[in-house]
Amino acid sequence: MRPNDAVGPAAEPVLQVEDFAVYYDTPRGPVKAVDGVTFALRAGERLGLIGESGSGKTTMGTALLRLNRPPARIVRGRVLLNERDLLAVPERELARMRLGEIALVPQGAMNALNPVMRIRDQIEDGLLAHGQLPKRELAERVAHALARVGLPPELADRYPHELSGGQKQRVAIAIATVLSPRVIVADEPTSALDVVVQRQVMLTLGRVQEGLGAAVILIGHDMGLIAQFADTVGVLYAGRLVEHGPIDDVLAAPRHPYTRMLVDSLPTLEGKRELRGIPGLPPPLLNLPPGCPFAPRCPYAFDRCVGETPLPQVVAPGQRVACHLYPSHAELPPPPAAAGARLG
Amino acid sequence: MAPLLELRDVTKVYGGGGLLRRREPVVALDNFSLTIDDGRATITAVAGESGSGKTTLAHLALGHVAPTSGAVLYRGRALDAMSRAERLQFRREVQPVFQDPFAAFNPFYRIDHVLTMPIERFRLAASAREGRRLIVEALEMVGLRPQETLGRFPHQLSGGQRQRVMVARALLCRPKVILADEPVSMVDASLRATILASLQRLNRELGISVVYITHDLTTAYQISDDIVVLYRGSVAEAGSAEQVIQKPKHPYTRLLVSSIPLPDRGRRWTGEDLPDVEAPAARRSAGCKFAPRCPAAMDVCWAKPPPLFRPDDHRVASCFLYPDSPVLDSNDVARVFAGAPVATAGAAQ
Repeated sequence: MRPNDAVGPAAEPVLQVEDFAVYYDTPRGPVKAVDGVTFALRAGERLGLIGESGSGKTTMGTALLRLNRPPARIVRGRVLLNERDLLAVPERELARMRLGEIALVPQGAMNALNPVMRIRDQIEDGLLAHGQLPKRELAERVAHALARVGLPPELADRYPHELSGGQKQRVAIAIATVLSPRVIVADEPTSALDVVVQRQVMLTLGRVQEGLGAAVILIGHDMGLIAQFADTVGVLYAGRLVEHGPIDDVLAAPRHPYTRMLVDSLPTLEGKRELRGIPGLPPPLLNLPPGCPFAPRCPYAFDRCVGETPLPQVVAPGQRVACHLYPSHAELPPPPAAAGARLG
Repeated sequence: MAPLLELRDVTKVYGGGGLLRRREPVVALDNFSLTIDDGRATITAVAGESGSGKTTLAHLALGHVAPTSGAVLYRGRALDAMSRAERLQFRREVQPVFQDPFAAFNPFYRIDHVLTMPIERFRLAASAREGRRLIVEALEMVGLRPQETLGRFPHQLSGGQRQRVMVARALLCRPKVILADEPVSMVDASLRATILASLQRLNRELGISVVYITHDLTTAYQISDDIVVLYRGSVAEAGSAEQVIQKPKHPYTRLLVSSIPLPDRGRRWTGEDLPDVEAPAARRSAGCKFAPRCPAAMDVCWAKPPPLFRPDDHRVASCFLYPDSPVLDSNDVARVFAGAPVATAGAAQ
């Protein structure tokens, strides 16, 4: 889609997330859905956040904009956007920053469009929330927002049910980007779409992002989609960011055992091979014991993994991993014998 | 080899009836044939996007809906002409596994219930003890630990575990065919491989044929011998998985394969403009259904539907780009499958 070096390491960070934690309060105690996540996003960067069900990816996406609702509660951390902490600014300032500087395309957005409102009114909604505009300028902005996602202006006068799935998803992107935000958080923006339409929507999102010079956080469970779209990838497991680095490096040489096994479980078209899953299940996040959350499923696990939570450390340029195998190893060694992930 | 499960020139039309006839009828499946042979355990993928007719095909093959024309046969008997005993045998030997591992369970019953039911219904065990042994064997076969599964309620298992319970349930019936309709589309990637591997194992070790209905060409390629690609109710391309996926011949298959988001940085999407596959066709085609979106459409494509051309021994493509290839003298795409009986007369060698 574009040269791989589109984002230089020198680019300024536009968003810095530090020690971010979001818990769900339950009668039996806190469920630590996001726990101590730290990363930086550079201007124009496309970060893919990958995780399986329950890894905390959607919780994190919504909480980054403080759109989380009880029982989800932001426990600690900082989310610095243009040097202001999103978690600390007053509500009024936050409302201005949302959509204006950081925008969310929520999961299932295409089905969340208001069925009895014309597309025009739904796009204007966001504009008007940020200040009055003359009618004529409103119409221009709507047409411009639609053009940005490759939709004709006359579509503004239609209702959601008159659009196809791909068109609705593009409208959702148009709504999110109408005020030219610097960061776009897109949560599974193509999950219910067929592959050809999915590819169209992702290419559209990429064009919009490049046009705006914005950074994107693409949240998803499909490594293929992230490999196609992103420059960098963050791997979430049980609410922790276990690996983070340039997508090429992470795919070619995953350092965390979970990433390695996840990559190995992906079916490819490079010849037929035995399918390998990851044995076991992610841990329940209620009363998670200290230690590495992946240890019970990890063929490399040793004593230290059980009692001591690994902290993220830099293992290669731009690549950080939370795993006790480092720094004593430079790369992930082959799995210990007899502990392979072959499943029957 | 006798045909086991056979869809013969099956067409299913929905709607169009009613007093006012306001709705346009939808041809969900159009003159489709497929044979699953007895004595040769295969995995056949039926791949297609929404609206391709793949789920209609599953419902027809299971006898949940009746074809508008054509026939569905099991062991040579039409499903609607079976005796009670034959119907019971069909119900036991052709087992479904559906998409949603949440919807299949009654939340008030323990997991055991869904497993003992078929044993009672089909009298698979002479005693409760033998029934228990069968259940334990079936669970182990799909990689579940019986002691961690039995006695639990559905909500205590993950989606992947529940889906494997459904495969174990199918297995208990000692089926000949498992019809799996999107069995892993609601399951996480790391567990997907495990479930598909268990289907593969049933096929290899127990000789059960699997019809794998999916929108996902990558897993279809990985586990199946042959693939049928459907587009709006008709076969676009069919044949050996290797041929169809690695060297697709139909423009629609090419579009699909090139749109797969592969986790491979060396095979990235190109940015060219794609045909808008969702837009209503500007011009009606009396011929190929893909013509309105096909970059290679010619006059003939709009005029008449393309037959099943056979450009290779183990492949058919319903496309006029291959006019010099022999035409399959039947609708039954299974004729070109990898292990199928030797090619019919007139077919290229």
